[in-house]
Order: sequence, then structure tokens, then C-alpha cells
Amino acid sequence: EEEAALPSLAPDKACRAVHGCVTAWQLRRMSRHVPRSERSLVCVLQAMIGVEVLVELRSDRYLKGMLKDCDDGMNLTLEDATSWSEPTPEDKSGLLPVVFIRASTIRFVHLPPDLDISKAVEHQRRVRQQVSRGSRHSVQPAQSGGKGTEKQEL
Amino acid sequence: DTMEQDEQPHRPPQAGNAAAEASPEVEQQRDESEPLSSSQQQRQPALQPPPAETQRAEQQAASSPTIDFFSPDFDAYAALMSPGLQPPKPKVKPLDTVAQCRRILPQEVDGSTAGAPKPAERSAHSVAAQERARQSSREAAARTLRLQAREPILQKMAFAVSEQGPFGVLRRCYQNKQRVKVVTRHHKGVRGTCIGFLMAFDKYMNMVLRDVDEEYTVLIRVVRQCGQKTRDAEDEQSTTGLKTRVCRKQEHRKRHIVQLLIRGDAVVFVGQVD
Repeated sequence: EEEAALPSLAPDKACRAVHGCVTAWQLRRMSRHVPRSERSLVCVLQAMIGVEVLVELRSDRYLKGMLKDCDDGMNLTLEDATSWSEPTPEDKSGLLPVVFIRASTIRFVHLPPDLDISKAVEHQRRVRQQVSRGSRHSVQPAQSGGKGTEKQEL
Repeated sequence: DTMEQDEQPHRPPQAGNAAAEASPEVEQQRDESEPLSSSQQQRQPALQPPPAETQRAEQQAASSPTIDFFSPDFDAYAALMSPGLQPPKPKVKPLDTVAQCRRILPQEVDGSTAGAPKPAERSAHSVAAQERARQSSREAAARTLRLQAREPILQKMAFAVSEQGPFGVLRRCYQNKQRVKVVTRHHKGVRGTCIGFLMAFDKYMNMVLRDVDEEYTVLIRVVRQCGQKTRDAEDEQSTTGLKTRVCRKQEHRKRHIVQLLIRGDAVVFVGQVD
């Protein structure tokens, strides 16, 4: 999604003098561009995809399940969730295979106690960078020579 | 390698002619930069064949002039099709494009570019400009890496807010790693307080707290039976008119949570706890 927001880096537009690399101003712009998920604490939840979480809703309801997906607006998708109410915690529902939680209904998200959020967020950012660089490689296989040198220079 | 390449055009000039005569149309159709077929490439960098095979190949070459590399009747296609046949110098570096081949063809052959003048040397100005551009892009990349390494995302998020004003309080609490008290809300009214260490926050006031002591209230529906005197004449039959009422009661609860993410729209206010 980040690539779409940036100017297209077609090879014929890139600076020819800098062999196989983007121009300096494009690099500066890319370094300044903060993805939407990293502008809020959504990045913490995105780093926790695949982990079991307990979500407390504003309606005093709990949903415990594996975090399947978290989007930039903090809407969540849980897998195999159990649900119960705050006043009657013993009355638990059965396994709900897929639960979509609207962001506005969330009050708390109970994170696992052994999770270091800053490490998880940095790791997630590195993974996302690698994925974005890999997709650029695969999108234009004919330019593999140029892209290879770009990878080395960066 | 270059010596061997220069040797080749002199040894089989007739072979080159034969090849050119054999397939003139094919060469004309080909583009300058079109790479040679993969089978030709595979033939070149092969290992030295065992002596028995070279002998067999030489015998083959002696027997049929079409696959003898130095004969005027050399047929390239036949040479490709005959198994185990090795060119005279198999370790020569392969030529990837037709343009490279043109450069080493002898000048008499049609399509040769052997005597063509070399492209003009690049001016010092151009070389310097390219070097400057490369240097600046390398510096920018290094700067990016340094910035990313130095400033973790959560810290950048916390410092994205202003130092003065309401968020300045939050920012100072984050910097000093203070214990804060967050008051949370129901859909109407205050729910309770969370006291914990502020680990991260953002511009929406979403927060991550650690070591949280939460005291909160829960609205519970309690079914109560209260006695009431019935005034209607119809209810004279029932002497004890018990009515079940559903009352909403506020129950106070306490709990301890290790790590908690609080969404910003559940927050009423945030205060420091000394």
C-alpha cells in the first residue's frame, strides 16, 4: 500500500547517473514517509497477529481469541473466539470461528504479559520493509540487474 | 581470454563465412542485443571432456566436414545436434549478445564492427557529476538507516506530539517513565481508574500501560423482589403482592493486569501519580 502513495519509480524516470538507484530526493521522501499503521499504536496490534489476545469491548463484553488481522483503523478479526459478559463471567459462549470487531467498540486489549512492545514493533517494521523490497524485485524481473545493485546500495 | 577470442576469428574465417551464408536471414532478423540461444551458451563453458571423448569427437570431425569447426562446410546446426562435440577451445568466455560477436568478427565479414571507432571518452565533468550523485544517494541511504536505527517507532510516535499543551503532560510522563492514572468511561459516565506505567502513547491517546491496578464499576442487573400493597380491587385475592423489579446496581471490582492497551476514546483524563 505504501508504494501506491509514493511517486512511481519507473527506471526510465530514475536518475540514470546513479546506476540502478533512486534519486536522492526520492530516497529522502521515502525515508520521511511514515506508514499509516506506524502513526498510531495500531502497530502494536499488528505486531501481535497470530497471538491470543483478550479484547474488552465498551459493552462490558470480553472476546478471547487468536488475532487474525488488524487493519490501520484498529478493526480486528479474531479466530476461534470465546465470548462472555463482565457481570456474568461464568456464562461463556461456544467457539466462534470468525469474529470481526469494529474499532470503535474496543475499550481495552489485554496484551500478553511477556510481550516487549517496542521490540515487536521494530521487528514488524523490518519484516514489512523486506516484504516491500521483495515485491519490488518480483514486480519487474527484467530489471533484475538494476534492482540488484539498488539492494546492495541500500 | 581476450587472446583466445582474437585467435578465433583468424583461425576459421571460412567457417564464419559459411555460417553467414548458411543463415543470412536469421542474422538479419536478430536484434543487436538479443541474447544467444541457451543451448549455445550451455555449450561454451563446459568442463574439459575426458580424452576418450575428444578423440571420438576428433574422429567424428575428421569423418564429416559439416561438424569440423575449421572446414568450409561447417554446419552450426549439425554441430549443435551432435552429442559430445566440443569446440576447439571450450573454456573461452561466452559471448552473450550478437553485438559482442560482431566486434570480434574479421572486418571482411559482413556485419562486422571490428574496426569501428571506440565511443568517445566521457568528459571529466560527466564522470565527476556521476560520482557526486552516487555519493549523495549513498549518504541519503546511510542517513535513513541511521535514523531508523536511532529512533524506534514508539518513541517517534510519542515525540510527534507537541511539548506544550495537554499532550505535553503525557509526553513528560512517557519520558520520565512515570506511573499515571487514567480515568476510563462507560457509554455514559465514568467507569473507573487504571493506574500503571506509561509504556507508549499516540496522538489519539491510545496508551499501553504496564503493571496496571484497575478499580472499576460494572453495571449489573439485579432482580429484586419487593413487596408492594396493591390498591386495585382485582388484586385482593393475592394477599402478598410481590413484584419483581429489575434494578441496575453498580458493583465495584478490582483487578491487576500486567500489560494493557487502552483505546483513546475510552479515556476521560490522564493524571500523574507521584
